[in-house]
Amino acid sequence: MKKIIVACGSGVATSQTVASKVNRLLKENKVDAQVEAVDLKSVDRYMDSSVAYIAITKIDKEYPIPVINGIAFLTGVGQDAELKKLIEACK
Amino acid sequence: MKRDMIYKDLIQLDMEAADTDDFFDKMAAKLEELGFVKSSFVDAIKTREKNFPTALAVEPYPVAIPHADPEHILKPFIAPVRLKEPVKWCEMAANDVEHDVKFIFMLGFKRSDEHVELLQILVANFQDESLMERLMDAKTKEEYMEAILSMEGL
Repeated sequence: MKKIIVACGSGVATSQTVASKVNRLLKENKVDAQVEAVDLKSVDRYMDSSVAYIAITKIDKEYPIPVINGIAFLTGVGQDAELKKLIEACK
Repeated sequence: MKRDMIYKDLIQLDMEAADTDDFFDKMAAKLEELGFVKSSFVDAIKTREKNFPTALAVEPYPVAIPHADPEHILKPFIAPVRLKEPVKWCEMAANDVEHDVKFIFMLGFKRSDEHVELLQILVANFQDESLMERLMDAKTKEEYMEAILSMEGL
């Protein structure tokens, strides 16, 4: 199963919420991947083992894996486009 | 059900705040007095908000969902606030974009698993225009609370 990470500033509010939402969407779309909420400070350590990074904070550096806009999953605005990118990254 | 985390006593209607720091000073004092947060909360939430702002650019009105790390929380809560005049609030994940925020739902969570569904429900309902108009027009805390409790899914 492929791994996707999500991180927010505290690890308790938004990232868990986005993780739960995205996990549901992936299941609905029959994508074999699991979203894990991780601590923002440890994001770099997950780059090798993850296929995408869902960000809920401002990104000011380049990552080797696709970065997905997590706010879209929180609000639903622009969600379809971000989900498409995410599914693509899981292929 | 998690709706009992929403306290009528914490609702602030037409609260006056000059900016976000002023808002946090006033709310933190109230939350501390009522035993919801530790004294460390006020600095924690200000710092966190500066690094990770929490305004959501939803329609019809932007809504802010400020929250601090769980270690500063004594008792989980949601504090719904409507400001008298909007204050400038930076957007989540787009720190340099500001919104005029009038509606705030301050979140105090102790554990990560207790609120996941609740936060999804709140954010979905922030985009319900008739619900937000009810919040805009509510004259009393009772009316405000009633509107919140009528949220779909809550």
